[in-house]
This record gives sequence, C-alpha cells and structure tokens, in this order.
Amino acid sequence: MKKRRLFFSTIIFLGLVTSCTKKLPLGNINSQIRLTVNMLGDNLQSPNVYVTLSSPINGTDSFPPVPNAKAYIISGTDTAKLAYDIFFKHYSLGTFKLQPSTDYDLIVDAPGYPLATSTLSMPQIIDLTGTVFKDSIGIDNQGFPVGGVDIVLKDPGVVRNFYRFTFFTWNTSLSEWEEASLDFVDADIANAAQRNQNGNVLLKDDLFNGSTQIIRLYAPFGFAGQNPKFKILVDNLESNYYYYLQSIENYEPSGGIFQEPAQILTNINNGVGIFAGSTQTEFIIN
Amino acid sequence: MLCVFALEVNAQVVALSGHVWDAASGEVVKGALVTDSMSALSTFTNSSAYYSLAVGSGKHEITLTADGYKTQKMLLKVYRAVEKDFYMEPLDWDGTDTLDVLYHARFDYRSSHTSGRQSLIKEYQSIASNQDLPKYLQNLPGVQMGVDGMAGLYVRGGNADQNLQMMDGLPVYGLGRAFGFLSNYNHGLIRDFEFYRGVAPARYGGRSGGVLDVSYKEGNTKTLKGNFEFNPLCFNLTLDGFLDPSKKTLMSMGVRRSWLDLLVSSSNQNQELIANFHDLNLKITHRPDAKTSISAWVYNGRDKYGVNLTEQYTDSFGSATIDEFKLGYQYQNTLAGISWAKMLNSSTQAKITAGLSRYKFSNSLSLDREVNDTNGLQKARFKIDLFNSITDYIVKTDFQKTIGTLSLFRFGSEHVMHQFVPGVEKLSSLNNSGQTREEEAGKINNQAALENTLYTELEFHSSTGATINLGGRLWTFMGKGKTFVRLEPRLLISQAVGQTDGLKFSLGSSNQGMHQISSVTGTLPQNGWVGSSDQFKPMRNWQTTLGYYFPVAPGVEINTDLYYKWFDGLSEQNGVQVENTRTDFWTLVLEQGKGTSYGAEIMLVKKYGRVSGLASYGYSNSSRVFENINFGKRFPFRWDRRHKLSAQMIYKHSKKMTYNFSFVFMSGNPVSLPSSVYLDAFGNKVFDYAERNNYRLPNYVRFDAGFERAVNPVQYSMDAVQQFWGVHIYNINARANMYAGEVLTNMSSGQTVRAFNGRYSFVFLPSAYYKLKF
Repeated sequence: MKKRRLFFSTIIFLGLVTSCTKKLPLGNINSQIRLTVNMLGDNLQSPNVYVTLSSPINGTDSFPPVPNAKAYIISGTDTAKLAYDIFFKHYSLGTFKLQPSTDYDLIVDAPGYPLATSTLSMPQIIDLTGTVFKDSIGIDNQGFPVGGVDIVLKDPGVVRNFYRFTFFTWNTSLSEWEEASLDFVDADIANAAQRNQNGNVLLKDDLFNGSTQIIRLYAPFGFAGQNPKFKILVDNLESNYYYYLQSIENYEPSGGIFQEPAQILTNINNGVGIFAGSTQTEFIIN
Repeated sequence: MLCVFALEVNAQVVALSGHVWDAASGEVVKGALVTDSMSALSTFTNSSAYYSLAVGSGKHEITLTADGYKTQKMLLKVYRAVEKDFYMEPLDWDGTDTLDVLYHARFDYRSSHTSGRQSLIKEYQSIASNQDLPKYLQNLPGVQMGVDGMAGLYVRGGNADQNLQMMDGLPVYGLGRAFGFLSNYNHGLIRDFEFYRGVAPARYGGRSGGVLDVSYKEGNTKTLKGNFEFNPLCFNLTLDGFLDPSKKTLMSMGVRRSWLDLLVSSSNQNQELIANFHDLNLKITHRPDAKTSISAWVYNGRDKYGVNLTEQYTDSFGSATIDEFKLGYQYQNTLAGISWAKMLNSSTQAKITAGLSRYKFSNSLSLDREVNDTNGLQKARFKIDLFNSITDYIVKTDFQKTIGTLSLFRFGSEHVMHQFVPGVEKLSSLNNSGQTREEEAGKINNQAALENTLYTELEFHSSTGATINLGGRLWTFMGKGKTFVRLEPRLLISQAVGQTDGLKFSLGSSNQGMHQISSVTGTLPQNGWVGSSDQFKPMRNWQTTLGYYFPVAPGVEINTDLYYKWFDGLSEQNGVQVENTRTDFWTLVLEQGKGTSYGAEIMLVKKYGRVSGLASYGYSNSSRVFENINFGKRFPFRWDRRHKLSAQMIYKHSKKMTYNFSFVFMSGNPVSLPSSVYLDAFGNKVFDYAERNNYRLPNYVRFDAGFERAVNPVQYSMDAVQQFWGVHIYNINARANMYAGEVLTNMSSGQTVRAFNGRYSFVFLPSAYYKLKF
C-alpha cells in the first residue's frame, strides 16, 4: 500500500509541477478601447448598424453605444446616411434596403476614434423555381414512410456561394409558420452541411458549384386528402457572413497551453465587428 | 582563385587515404580533421571515418585533430598512393592536449555548426539528472527550447518539426520519451553528433530547419564495455563490445525504462494506473576487412499511459455486473536500418543505407460489461481507437571521391516513400444480442508520397586558405495530386585569415514536403503528419550566414555569426477546430504563410580541459505572416525570444569530483492574450485579441548546478566496476519561468474580474543519480 501511495503521490506531484500558474500583469498589454461596429443585413429589411465601444480587458465590461457618430452606407454615388435610433440604440434608415448583387462601403465616423470602414458585396438572389413537395419518398430508419421536399437550387457559377437553409411548416390551428427540423436526405450533402449552435444549417456549394442541384429534405408524411403548406427560406450569404457564423461556432475565448485562442472574424478597419449581408429567397409550397 | 585551383590540379598528385580509429576502443572517429600542414590542405573523416587527401609527392607533415582526442603530428613520405590508418588517443581525464594547434577555426568551412563526441555531453546534466543531447544543444545561440524541460529544438525561427533529426542516418520523429523529457537519443550509445543551425552541406536535406546527425557506437574492439545508470526518470543500461574472437563483428545495445511503475504491485485489481516508457537500441557491425563495414540496427521506443478501472456490483434483482473501463495513450518510434560502406580504392568510398522509420500514436477507450442474471451470462463491448502515424521507407547512396589535390567530390541520392496516416478513428461495439458494429473514419486521408533527391558536393581547397563547398540538391516530392520539383543550391565558403582565424559565408535553400499538424506551443505526441499536395504546398527556406571564427587561447574559440532566413509554406493553426477524420481536415485548421528570421550570435567554446563549457549570446528576431491569420499582419513567432544569454560550465576539480553549472537568460516568449472585450453581432461578450502573440511573458532565468562524485576512479583502483553518484538541481533560483498564458474570467461581488495567468513547470527540482561503469 505504501508503494502505491508513493506511486500516486509521484504522479500527482509531476502533474502539479507541470501545471503551475502565476498571475501575469494585466498592465503589460496594450489595452485599447476600440469602436465596435456590427451589421448582419439582408435584402428584405432595413439594415441596422450597431456602434458601441469595446471595454478594456481590466475594465468593467460596459459597452456604451455611440450615439453621436455619423454612419454611412455607400453604393457607387448613392449614399445612405443612417440615423441613430434612441429606442433600439442602432443606426438605420427606414427607406433604405441592401440590394442583391451590389457592393457597399460602410463608414462610421465617431468623435475621438479613427474612421471605421468596411465593405460588403451582396450576393445574388437564388432561383428556387421548381421546388416541390413529395408525399412519400421512401421509409426512414424506423421503417415508417416519409415525405420530402426537393429544393431546386440553381447555383450561380464563377463565384463561391454559401447558403443558410431554414424550413417551415404551416400550423393550421395557430395559423402561423413553425420552424421545422431540417434533415438532408443525401448523405454527401448532410456530411457537408454545418449545423451551428444557433440552429443555422449552412452549406457551401463545393459539391455543386455552378449547376442546378436538387437538394432533398425530409418532410412530414401523410397529407393524403389534405393540403400541406411548407416554406423554404434560403439565404445566400456573403463569404464574410458565412465565416463569421463559423468563427462564432469555433470561438474559444482562451487558447490555454497548447492552442491559439480562436478569434471571431472581424472585417472592420480601425475597429472590431462585422459588416456582412445576405440575400433571402423564400419559396412557399402550397 | 579558379586559376590557382587549375594550376594546382596539374601538379603530380598522389592520394593519401584511410580511416581514423579510436586507439582505446577501436571505434571510428568521424569528423577528424586531417591536415597537410605544409600545403595547408585538409579534409574531414566522414561517417565511416574514411578520409582521402590528395597531396603532391614528397614529404608531408600530417596533423590530426579531433574533438576529444589528443592532437597528433607526423612526418610522412608520400611518393605513391598510400592507404594509411591513424589511431587517435582520447584525451586524459583533465582534457589536456599539449599539441592543440587551433586548426578548426581556420579549416572548418562549416559555419553555425557544432559537433562533438559522447564525452562532450556526458557530464552535462539536465532536468532530473539526465544527460540528453538536445538539452545540451538548447544552450547554443539561435536555438530555443520551447516548453521548459522538453527536448524541442526551435532553430533560428523554425518549428521543432522542421529539423532533420537522424539516428545513424535514418530520420527519427517526435520529441522522444516521457513527452520529451528524454529525447530519442540514448546518450550512453552516442558516438558522435553534428548539429547545423545554419546552412548544411548538400548531403543533408528533406527538412527546412536545423540538422542533427547522430551516430551510435559500433562496439568496442578491445573489450566489453558497459554503463548502468539510475536516475529519477529511468534506468539505462548500455553495452558495447565484440561478438567474435576475431573482433570483426561488433555490437552495441542500450535499454532505458522508467522504473516508478515497477514499484507498484498489482494487489488492487480494480484500478490500475499505467505510466511507463522504454526504448531499446541494438546495432551490429561487421567489418570483414579494414575497408568494408556492414551495419544493421534497430530502435524501438514506446510510451504508454492509461488507466484501467473495474467495477463489480449486484443489484436488488440479483443481477451481477462487471464493468471494465480502459483508457490508453501510447506512442512509439521504430527504426530499422542496414548500411554497407566500402573504400573502393584509394580515392573513392561508397555507402548504401536502407531502412525504415515509423512513428505511431494511438489512443483507445473501451468499456466492457458482463451481466450475469436469469438470462445467463451476457457480454457487451464498446471501443474507440484513434491513431495516426508516419512511416518512411528510405534508400540512400553516398559516394565520395578525391579529384586532384584540391577537390573532393561527393554525390548521392535519397529515395523516401512516406506513408501518412493523419488520423483514423475506429469504432467497434458488440451488444448483448451478439450484434456487432464496426465503423472506421478518416482513412480517406491516408496518403503516400515519394521523395527523391539527387545531390552533389564539390569541395575545393586552396593553398591560399580558402575552402569552398559548392553543392546542390535536385529535390522532388510526388504528393497527392501534385509533384514538386525544386533545386536547392548550397554554398559554404571559408577563408583562412592569418594562421588561426576563419571567415565563413554560406547560402542555401532547403525544402520540406511533410507538415506536422502541431500545436502552437510545441510538438505533442498526438500531432500527426501530412504530405504536401495540390492542397498544401511544401515548406521552403533560404538562409545566408556570415561568420568569423577565431581562437583566443589553446582550445578556446570564439564563433560569431550573422544570419538571415526566409521561410515559405510555413503552417500555423488558425483556431478552427474540426474532427481529424474529415477529408483534408488540415487544410481547414492550418494556414500557410511566410516568415523571416534574422539575428547575431557570439559563442565562446571550450570543449575540453579541467574547465570546459560554452558561453553565448544571441539576438534573434523571428516573425511570420499569414493571409488569414492576424488579419494578414506580421506577428512574432511563438518562440521568438529576442535575447538569449547562456553559459554552461564543467569543472573537473579532481579525478573524483566534477561540478557542472549552467545559466540561461532569455526574453519571454510572446503569447496571444486579449486586449479588450466587445459585443458580437448577437450581443455576446467576446475577446478582442487585437494581434496574435501580442503579449510577451516575463523573462526566463534559470540557474542549474550539480556535481558528480566518482567513488573509485579508475586511476585509483583496479576495480572492474567504477561507481559514480551525483546530484543536480534544476532551476536553483526557483523562478517561475512561463511558457504559456491564458485569460481567466471570474465573478466577484457581481463584477466581472479578469486575470492573466502564466503557465510554468519546474521550480527548484533537485534530483540524484547513480552510475556504474564497467
């Protein structure tokens, strides 16, 4: 028993000496307050640009909004000057919407901070014409018949496209759309898809770049005599949007001993945050 | 200068060639400098201790110098081709060499180069009283150790996986035993080593960093010699001698094993902790005649860690269950090689080497359940195995030929078949109904690559004191989907200044076709390898050095070097984490980029004598730039320590007592720590790291001291067995030398409080050892 104690004590000792920690001075880091600019916009709603300040690492974690900045979204010769909304604490312009296949520049001029800038290339709208519901496409793992939805996705060539899929079913008793679980039938598509913690189902067009792809989803079965109603929402994400969502998924606040911390993507010059957009296509199967 | 060469080539030339042997043990002496003092021409013995010096007919004063041996001078009358073997006497216990004529600084064309024999490192104690070659080399300027106590070598801005580390001509992977506390090299078997921090001659290649070429003993031709050591980490038994009465067949062998686990009895069968390592070397050499040598060797090193737990219980229904849980972690190196070397004629030598080198890591988890109830005995099993490996099959040829009095021609080829298994996961299960399930993932990433290289070196010697080693490698790497063909020029020049000094310049390029998917902090046993392909390009470096080497006293030399190094195709983690069974997963987790490293080094070396050691200072600046890391901005390399001051001293007080001291000061290495906190697009608090490696850890300062006492030194005793014991204290100044940092967030009185923590390992670590020599 003594030998065992010696052995375990030695192992514990070795473990301890390899994991000693000591406080490091926080003051050695160049802790600067930076302008934080966030906007994830689409082509259907007016974009909201949130402008706040970051908090020093040894600060009080306060992230005050910056109400006295000037925020512009520029496309060619058109400039949209956004106004600060004191209720929602963001910058927006009700009449302004991001247009598909259009490039935009963002400028945020806040007193006392360097000019924060970024750029965005809105992806083009995706054509989903031909998307259909099929009442029975086979049986599932449990031996029950299942239905399916064939999304006919005409993937634009030349450029890389990044998609986010959302699937809704119509609840007739509540008369509203309900988000349904989304499962791809094709194993290759299912393997290539990324599902993140926010419930987003993301898919790059690696497997079908530039071609028309039929992406089949599992759907409820057994609508004989009834009239099922589904909605498919496909967001064509700008690459920064896609990688931003991925970076949030992979975010590791502290690298620890053997690994670098995984940072969140930022594309704001002279600041931090994200300026990215998507074009949404909605297809209702009635 | 070429005119001078041309004139001298036309003189009447005869070849003086042969081998240089250790007079005491009969071992070959590699790296001995054979100099014709009259013409000032010189050559080094190669790995077979073969030399060939073309001289004009007449009388010649030949001088032999070699690390650890007494200098010899002799007059030879040479009128025709002569085959002459030399026998060198090892230095006495106090290292006195009355004839030391300071030849190396003047004649050695290799800059940023360190070589030595076992005697150089055997008294250098490191952590846990081990003598380990990489730990000795970590004292050199331009070489960083990485994580404290480990055997990593980060040479002039390169990663540990960029070094060519060889054991008897075959590459060896990984940091070695006990996670790198002990390297793969058993110091008791080392015959000699060469280490290049700078540009290596063209006979070395395949990696884009430093070169460590270690040769093991072949065997003592006089008698059977052995050592037994016992220290806190392991015991080590080494033997070397001859196997037949004619002393033509020699052998050396060594065994190291951890001993702590052997103390534990297995009385408690319900829990078992596994933590052990071993390695085994065996080398057999047959010398049918003085000109031929055939060697075969094997090395196997294995680490095994894990836990086995067994639980037995019976529920209220009388159902008896036995659960057995096993978690294991194992990695091993295997090397096997064979070589044939022959002196074909007085001016030509050939060597052919073939072998394999394999590194394999595996991790397994299993749960076995046995239930004995009214249904009888039922069994179920669940097991997951993860493993990765790299296997190299190697064939090498090396030829050396003397041409005229002034030139030496080396050429050869190297063919390596790499087999990469970056990560495979096997899942198997068996349920109590007898249904089995087998799944395997990651096999799709297995790949093979063929690396072929042709090299040539032309070494010119001039009576004006210039030596030029001009060479090149034609390197091809046939990876998945793409073949890379690159030319690697190598130029090493030395110009004698006065009678003793040497001015050195070098320029060269090297390529590396394989990449280790390693951690930013250091190499871990589980880090797999992948080959270059159409998805991932090879690493390449260019380096140039300028040095001035001069002796300041007999046996004391100062080496100064300036260097600049460019890297391309470097790989670095980008922070993305994916399963390592996904197709080409490394293309997602690693980015490729460029880097530069430059610095200035000065080193004072005294290899032998009652007081020996080295003292050095190195300034270095190593940085990297990746398109998708740090927003494309340049950042310092993780082991960019700007200043390094190192001193190491061995003092032989008497035949009984030897003291050793070492001191290291280094700038702190940079790590990534957040500078502020901000809100992401979804309103979550996230860290702003601003820049990678933006925080420099405190300076590293360590002082070690120890001694070794001979109980019965051979000079006092006729005992067949000599005994020694020693004590060593690592980090006697008890400083927390940090190598990593992290941020911690806590809540205190409703307020968020953050702190930076530094990680460190060893503070004031005393150890003792016992040694037998027979």
